[in-house]
This record gives sequence, C-alpha cells and structure tokens, in this order.
Amino acid sequence: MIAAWTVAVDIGGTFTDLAAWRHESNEIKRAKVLTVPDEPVRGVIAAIEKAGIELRDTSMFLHGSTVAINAVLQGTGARTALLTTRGFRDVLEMGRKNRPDMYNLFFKAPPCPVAREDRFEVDERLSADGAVIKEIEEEELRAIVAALPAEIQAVAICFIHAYANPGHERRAADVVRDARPDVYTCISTELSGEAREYERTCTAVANAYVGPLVATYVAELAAYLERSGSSAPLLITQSNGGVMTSDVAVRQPVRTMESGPAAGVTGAAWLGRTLQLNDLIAFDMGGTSAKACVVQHGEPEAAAEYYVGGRQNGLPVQVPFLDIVEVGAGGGSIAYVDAGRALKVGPRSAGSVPGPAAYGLGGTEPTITDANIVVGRITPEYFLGGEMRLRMDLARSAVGKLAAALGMELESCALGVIQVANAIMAGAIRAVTVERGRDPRDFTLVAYGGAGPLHATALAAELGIPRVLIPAGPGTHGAFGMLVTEIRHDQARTVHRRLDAFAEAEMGSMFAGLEEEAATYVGSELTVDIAPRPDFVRRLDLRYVGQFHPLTLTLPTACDGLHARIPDLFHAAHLERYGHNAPVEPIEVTAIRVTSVLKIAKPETSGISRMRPPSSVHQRSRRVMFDDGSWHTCRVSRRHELVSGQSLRGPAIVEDADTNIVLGPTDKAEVVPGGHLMITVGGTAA
Amino acid sequence: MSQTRVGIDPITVEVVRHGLIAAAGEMMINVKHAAYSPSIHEIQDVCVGLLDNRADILACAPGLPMFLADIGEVVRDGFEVLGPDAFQPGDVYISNDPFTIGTHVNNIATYSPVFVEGERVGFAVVRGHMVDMGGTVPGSRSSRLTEIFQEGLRIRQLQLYAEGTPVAAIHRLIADNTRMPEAVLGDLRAQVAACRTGERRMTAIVRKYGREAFDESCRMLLDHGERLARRSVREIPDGVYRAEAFLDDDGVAVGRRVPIRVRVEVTGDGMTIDFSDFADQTEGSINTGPAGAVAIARHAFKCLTTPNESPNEGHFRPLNVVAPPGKVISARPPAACGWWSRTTSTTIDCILRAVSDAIPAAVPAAHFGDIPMCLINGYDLRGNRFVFFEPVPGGHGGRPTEDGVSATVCFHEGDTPDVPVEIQEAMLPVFVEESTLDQDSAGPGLHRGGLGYRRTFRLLSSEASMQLNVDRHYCPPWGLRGGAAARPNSAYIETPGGGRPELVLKRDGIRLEAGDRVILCGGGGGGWGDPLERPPEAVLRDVIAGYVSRTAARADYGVEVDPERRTATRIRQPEGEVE
Repeated sequence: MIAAWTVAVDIGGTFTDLAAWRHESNEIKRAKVLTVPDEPVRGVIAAIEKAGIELRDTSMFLHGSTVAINAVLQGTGARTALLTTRGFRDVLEMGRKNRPDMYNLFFKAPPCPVAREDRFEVDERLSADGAVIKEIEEEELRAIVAALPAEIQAVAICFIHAYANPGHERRAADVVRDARPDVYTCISTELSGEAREYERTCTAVANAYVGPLVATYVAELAAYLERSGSSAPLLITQSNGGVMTSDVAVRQPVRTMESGPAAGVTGAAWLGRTLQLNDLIAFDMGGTSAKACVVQHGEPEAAAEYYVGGRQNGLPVQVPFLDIVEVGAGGGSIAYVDAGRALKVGPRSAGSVPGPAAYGLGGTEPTITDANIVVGRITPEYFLGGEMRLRMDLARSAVGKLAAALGMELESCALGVIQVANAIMAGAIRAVTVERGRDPRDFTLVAYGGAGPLHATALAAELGIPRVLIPAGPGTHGAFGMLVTEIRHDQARTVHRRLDAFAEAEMGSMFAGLEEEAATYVGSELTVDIAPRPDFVRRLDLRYVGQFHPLTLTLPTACDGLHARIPDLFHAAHLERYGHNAPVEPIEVTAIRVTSVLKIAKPETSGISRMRPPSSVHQRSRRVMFDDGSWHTCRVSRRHELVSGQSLRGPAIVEDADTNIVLGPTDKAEVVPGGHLMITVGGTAA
Repeated sequence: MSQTRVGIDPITVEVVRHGLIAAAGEMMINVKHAAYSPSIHEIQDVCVGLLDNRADILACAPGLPMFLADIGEVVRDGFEVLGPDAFQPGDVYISNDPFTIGTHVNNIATYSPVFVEGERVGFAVVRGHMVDMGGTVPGSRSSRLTEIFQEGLRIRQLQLYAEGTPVAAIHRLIADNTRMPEAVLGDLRAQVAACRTGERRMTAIVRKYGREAFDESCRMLLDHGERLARRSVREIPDGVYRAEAFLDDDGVAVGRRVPIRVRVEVTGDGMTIDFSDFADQTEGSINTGPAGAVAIARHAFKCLTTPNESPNEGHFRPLNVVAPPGKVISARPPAACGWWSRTTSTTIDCILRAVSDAIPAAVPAAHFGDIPMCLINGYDLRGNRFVFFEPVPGGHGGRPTEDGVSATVCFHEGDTPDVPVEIQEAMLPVFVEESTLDQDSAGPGLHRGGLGYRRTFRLLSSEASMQLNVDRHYCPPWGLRGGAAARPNSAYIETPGGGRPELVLKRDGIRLEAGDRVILCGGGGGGWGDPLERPPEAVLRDVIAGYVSRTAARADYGVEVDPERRTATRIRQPEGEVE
C-alpha cells in the first residue's frame, strides 16, 4: 500500500502546524511555518513541503482553518439576507436584550451581520408543538425572493418554532434555490433542532455569512490536493473536537468556528487515554491568549452555550462546542502600568508583528515572552529549535522601562509580569474547575502551545494540581490532535416533556430517528481506514420541574431497565455538578441528543522516546529566577536527547523545539512512554 | 493617600486582587447554583462579596449593577447594633431591614466573619432576594401597600448560626412568617454555603501571603481603586450641576408626580451627590432607606469614573452622598419599600444629565428610564401555577459619537437575558404576535437614540390575570445638546372591534377575553445633538432600514427621502445656517 500517511494541518493566527502519521512504521512528523493570512492554502503548501511529505502518499488529509471565524470577527463575510417569521424581523438585531458590560455607558450592541432591509418577514406561523397556525404561501415567498437585491450572496432561513416542524423552512429553501441557484442557502433546522429563536437565527445567519467563503476555500484546497496527485479524502475539523467530510463542512461551516482549540483538547484526551489518565485540564497558551478545557472521565466537556467573539459581545451559535474558557494572556500579551499605577498584563497583544520586543521586529513594549527571557526561562538562541534568535538586550530594555515606571528592580519586575499573567490564567482554569464544582487537585494539567510549558508548573502549584503532562511536540499538539480524532456528528431536538410521561418506546423511536439523521452526516462515501458503521451516544437534557437550566446526561449503552434508571442517574449527576439534588421532585426532558461517531485509523503513539542517550549530550546550566524571587542554578537539557524513563529534578529547564519547559525547584519529572514529560509538582502531594 | 510601604510589591497586590475577585466570583456561582428561587438564579437578584475588617468592599460580584451598597452597609450596621467585637468564628448574622441596609424586606443579607489563626481578617457577605417574606400579599410587595408592616417580616442583625451551629429559634421565626418556607430556608442555606466558600478562599489567601502582607495588599488595592476614580473626577470641571425629572406617580396617589431632583458638586478630585431636593417619601411603596441613596449614587458614579474595573470600596472614596432623612430614597419607617427600584434608573439618568454640560463628550442622552412592568399570573400549560415577568427593554440615549443602542434593559438591570418567545409559548398560555423594534420611537438627533421595543401578545387562557405597572409615560426620555425626546414607555389593551387601543399604565387584576391584545412598549432613547445636523445619508439609511418613517424624516430631521431612488435632500436647515 503506497498511500501511507495521514496528514493533519492546522492553521492558526500566527503559525500553520502540521502533524503526519505514517501507518506502517508509526512514524510521526511535525512541522511549523508562518501562516499566510491572505492565502491560507500557501501556508498549507509550505508546511507540507517543509515536512517533506509527498501528497501522493497520503490516505487521509485532515484540516482546520480560521477562515470561518475570521470572517465573523472581521466582518468580511457574504452579504446575507434573512427570511424569518412575520413579527420577528428584529430578533437578530436585538439579541437577548441584556447588558453584560453593565457600568459602561458606551456599551456595544450585539453584532448584527444582516442589515435590517435585508431581513424579510414571511407570513407563516407554527405553534410550539409544530402545528401550523398560518400556512406558508409560495406566492408570497416567490415575491420576496424576486425582490432580493442582486448583491445578496447568501440566504439564511429561520422561522419561529421550526425546530418542532421544519416543513416551512424547507419549502422556503426550495423556492430560494429554485429562483436563485447562485446564492448560498441554508435553513436553521438543518443546523440546530433546538428552541430559542435568537440563538438559532444567529446559527443560520453565521452559517450563511461564512458559507460562500468556506466553500471557495475548501474547493481551492481540494484542487491543490488533486493537482498534487492525492486522492485522499479531505476531512475538516469541527468545534466539537471531531471531524466531518468536506461536503458537510461546506453545508455547515458554522461547525468549524473553534476547530483549532478543540483539536488540541481532543489530543489531550487521547493522550490521557494512552496513559490511563481520565481527568485532565487541557491548557493551551499561545501568542495572544490562553485556553482551558476540562476532560472528565476521558471525555472533553461540551459547552452549554457558545459565543463567537466572546460572551460579552459575540454571536451565539447553537452547534456543539467544547467548554473552552479563554483569557487574554499569551506570550505576546503586553504588560503596562495603568492610570492608578498598578501593573497590568494583556489583553492587548503584540501578536506576531511586531511581536515581543525580543523578536527584534520593531516591538518595544514588554510582553510575557520578554519577561520570560529576562528571568532566564526562555533560551534566546534556541527559539523554534534555533531557527529564530531572540534578543536578550531588547527584552531587558522593554521590561526595564516598565520596572522604572514601577520603581522596581528589572528582574523582579519581569517575575511580576509572569506572576500577574499566571493569576489571570489561573482564572481560566478556575472557571472550568472550581466554578463548575470540580476540584483542580483531582486533575492532571496537560500543557501545550508555544507558551504553555513555560507557565504550567507555576500554575499547577498555584491551584494545587499535583501533576503536569507536557506532550511530545507541544507546539504542534493541535495538529496532532486532528490525527487522533473521529468523524463525528451531533444532532439534537428540543422537546418539552415530563420524564414520567415519556414512554420508553416513544423516547426510543425519537432517538432512533435522530440517529438515522446523524448517520447521514458521517461520510458513508469514505472507503478507507474507517470503521464500517457509526457508533451512537445518546444524551438527554433534564431538569427538575421549575428549574431553568437543564443538565445534559449521557446515557449508558442501551440495555434492559435503563429507562427506569434515568431519574436516579439524573439525581446523581445533579449532586455531582451542583452539590445538591431533590430526588422527590418531578423531572422534565428539554432535549434529546445523539452523537454519531465513525472511528478512523489513528496512531498508537504521538512521539518517539529515545531508548539510549545520544553520543554527545548537550548539557549546560544557567541561572533562572523562580517564583520565590531567588535565582537558582538550573540544569538545561534538550528534550530530544532525553531517554525514556529518565528522571529529572528541578530546578531545571528542558529546551523543546517549540518552547521551553520549566521545572520549579521542588518539581520532579519523568520521561514516560511516547516521549511525554510527566511532572510531579512540588508541594502539592495529597 | 499613603505611599507604598517597603516589603509589599505591586505584584503581590495585583495577585491578591485577582484572588479576591475570583473568590467573589466563586461565591456567586455557588449561591446561584444552590439557590431555589428563580429571582436568584435567573433574575440575578443577588450580590456577594468580601469585606475587610472595617467593612470596606475588597471584591464583590453584583448580580445587578445597582447592588453597590448592600454588602458593606449591613456589616457596618452590625458594628453599631452588636458592637465591633461581637463576632465569633462560625457565626452568621442576617438582616433585611430596608431602613439600615436599603432595598426591601425581600432582600436578606447573610454575613460571616472570617478568622485566620484566631484573628478576624474580614467578612464574607451574600445578599439575595427571597420569594416571600410574608405580609399582606404573596411576594410581599404591591403598589397598593402603604406601610412596611404590610410587607412582611423585618429582621435586623439576628444570629442565624452561632459558632457554626444553626440557631433554631430564628429559623422557626422565618419559617412561620413566610408563605414559602422551603424556598426561603433553602435559599438561606445557599447563601450561608456561599459565605463559607468566601471564608475558605479568603483564609487561603491570608495564609499564603501572611496577615501583614494581606492587609497591606488590601490597603493598596483600595488605594489603587481610589486613585483611578479620583483621576476620572479630576477630568470633570469644578462646579455645581443640577437636573430633574419625575415619575408619573407612586401607584397610590395616582397622577401626583414624584419629582426626582439631584445636585452634583465637583471640587477637585471629589464629588458630592446631593438628594436634598428629592421627593419626600411617598405613601406608595417606591421608598427605601438611606442605603438606597448610596447605591444609586454609587451606580452613577461608577459609570462616570471606573466603568471597567471590578468594584471595590476604593472606587467610591471620592464620593460623598447627601440624603436627608424622609426622602423617597432615604425614607424613615414605616414607609413601604416593596417597589423601591422604580426610582433608580431615572435618578441615575438625572445624575448623568446634571454633569453632561460639564463633560459633554462623556454622557449619552436619557434612556427609556424604567421597566414597563407586566406580571402575568395563572396556570401554565401543565397546570402549574406561575407568575411571569420579564424586564421589557427600551432604547438607550444617543451618544456624543454615535447613535444609541436599541432595545436593551434599563440601567438597574444588567446581564439579564429575556425569555425566548419559543420558550414562553411552550410553557405559558401566551401567543406573541410580534417582538420588534418600534419605528420612530427613537429621539431624533445628530446621533439619534436607540429604538424602543414593542411586543404584542394575547393570553390563551381565561384563568390568567395580568398586572400592569408602567411609569415614565409622562416624562419622556430627554435629548441632550439639542437632541429631541423619545417616545415614552406605554401599554395598551386592544379588544376586537373596540376601536382604538386603550392606554393602560397602572392596573391590577386585569382579565383578558379571547382575542384581546396587549401591546407593551419600552420607550426609545433620547437624541444627542441637533437632528437637523444629521447627515441626509444617515437619515436615508434609517428610512431604508425602517427605523425612521419618511414622515418623521421630513418632520424631525428636515430631510426629504426617496427610498426607491435612494436619495435624500435637506429641506430644512439648522438654526443660524443660511443656504
């Protein structure tokens, strides 16, 4: 078999990362190149060339990009029209009418990607149970479509209560496609079967808004693959951590908004499984932000709601996302003195241009990266494995200005920048653990991204997390995560039912119907390296009658007596999540959910662990400042020279090709199978 | 202001500050998840925080933005009533007396001292809205009530837990005096649990840095907050500024206007907000104690000075509040306080209006001013009793730089989302015909106000009844700098074949017949600047979008618009300009 490689390419804001797996030999290749923002496909080509992979030899190509999310954040999507129910034209513009930025007299309105004159009301109406109150009229529809401005490139359709009966939306879509085949058209219920008109409207609108761009991009990429002699199927990553076929991605691009961060979490969960660790905090720190997500019982946590662009002023979308909390602290985040003379860090970032002062590309403001250089935690001459040299002098002069403004010593000020950044990032980890009723001491912190391994042990010590795992290739961990994912589709339907009046047979047939729908999305046309048929996972959204927020309960594999056990499972889950429950209260079902999963072949290991030391070992030592404010002489080693089973004692620095790993004075570490570094954090022993 | 003492660096201060804010955030999540009542976990009628030993706020999480005085005042009152050294580890005290801690009897504050190695280091406080505290009416508030004694159980500084043990007598007293003892006692348990969380987190921070470094960090973070606020006040020119508006009435003396007058004095880096000319306390239940005046003044002051900072006591040190006893917002017993919040948003708007001449670039025109209240009681589609209420939105004022934001909750509401129509119709006997922006409701201006909101609905059950309580109808949202007023709040009932819809502002026990429509309108935001100076292209865009009608474009903006040909021509010039 010639087609030997599975290739994954992840385009991020600064870097385009590649990870590839050669099936027979279990070899893993990784590459990192700069992103080409205007022509992302060129970055993909550069990464493939750098890795030296022949596309003829690929059996599968996995890909994630920021095309969709950038279009939303930068407002560069298609001119989109919205067809909606009479009386509800302004749902999209008004949002939920709340004001999270509550003391700001100049608060922003929610983003509204469709101008009011491009929102059209259709005289139709359904009731909450899907009954037709006012029949849709084709004649009226045709008149509306005929009046659509010629510049409209996309049409989103969302009617009130369509989740209970998609008939009207489908008929409207038929009319639009018939009259305007040039226009990208989508309906809300193909994307979401859930109630809440604002969120579902936004989902349809966001999908239409990015649809034409994503369609063009996917076609370009597919053409490149074909030109390069590859017949490998193209799979696109989703925000739920899974992948989908490129056909589904073109129809449902709204599912790709946060695919990069999700792939990193998938990679962390996979890593945990290979090392028998089920409860993890995936922690990704890059150039502009840090992100945290919990993996519990081996499964990444899904979010109850998600806003593209952030909770405060973003666009909510009703498709599955992982529960990733992001804070504005990354290597490029800028430190400054505020009007009240306090030291602050971020969220403003120097990005990749000009980047931190030490990059020598014109940046003069002190960043977290500069602070790490000043205290000796980053090796300036080994940045990106030596491809880029950083300037200690520029880092010192940038941090020096800040130190002078605060009346502090240069090095103490640099340490301060790191500690303030850590306090902010600890907030992200607290948000996904203690604020969700979880104790961080029960978890292992998996740290990756260009800056994650620099800060991980200090963060773990702060939060009492006993262990830190640094995967092999932490800087390309997101791309690797794509290699270990599944083809996945989530489908959900809102219902309004008391659990005690929801018969087993009826619930079973509703689940079966959803499974049938979900199965059509997981790529039956694929013939290589995949399981013959999908597995299904069933979930229920449940709450006590009178409660507002439901809890999603994953059901065990169907078996006799399961239906009768659902109340007890819910009481237990409620107790675990909220610390209390009410076993005598009646329960209601608000949604049923199905996930279909089609397994694809994946590597057994993510890296190699060296069995014997190299002939000459690069070994030095240098002074590094730690969080107690004192300097320690540290042993500095190169990660690729470490041997499987080797143990290390802090204080120490391990130079990785993508980043440095910092071991505090009381930390210990061991190289575990696969080449990962498992760190026992000093002072956290239970 | 003191200088930095040797030994504590700005880094420790910043890290301690983050730790305290995170602790308050955790207390908030804790109480919201464990609480029984939707008023806490949905409407966000709750406030939590950590105080230092003098009851100054170190960090707090206000569920609604107006809750900036609740948690400190209750502990200060405790010092007065119980003595400053009355507290033992494990104690919890409760209070709901509006005349000392503000708001109304529904709001119970619980607080506990935090002890580390035998020494008191501060307090954890949680204040939540209880669904019923007894009294004449279910829910303990009605616009018909005229004395606090009709509004239920009033408690001042009683011990709920003594050194960790629940005090049975006070629990019995509360249980016997509310219509919903399970809910109230459940919510109190949630509040106490959140206090305990706050105690644990604060203790961990003190242990980590040591008592001295902790105290010093707290002192410095409050000083930092003070510096930020003073810096903003210095940017307001010295002077005495006044403004006034009014509420339609107090719900009892129908038609008698309730004047809202404020006086703001800025001297250097300090500000006094003076309510001496405010309306005297009323018979109707729109009153509260003097802490209400403090909360309202603080809310406005925070918007003007440190809007992006997580609140602490330092931010309010430059603010002096003058509120002579006997005013609506500094009432004496036995004033009724149930609907105290009715004055808040209008008063904040008045304070902003007062200073707007001094800092025109920093203040928007008036917003719609208050929630048009509509409460529906009845049986839901599954036969359960329900009371439905939601904060109807309206327009916010035009700004010095841009148009105002449309259809958003008023000042005293914050991060409180509406209930989706798809959820309402699935649960309740309502049918919503439209939920929309209201054309021509915005105050015209160079930068027009945000549009108001209109909701038209029918009730599908004859067993449901409705209460309307709409104010600020007769005092429309004003414009600034030549901007015009907006369309005010209103409510109408339309009966089939009944001709014009009837304006109904305040009425209880409304029964609707099949086919009757209710039309609820949240007013628009006032305009900023002369509407005749609005560029014709902007008026054209508004007409094409339907925000403004052609008629209004002509009458209010002096612009003739032809939407078909996309042309707009100025037909009337601003005063003083000649073509």
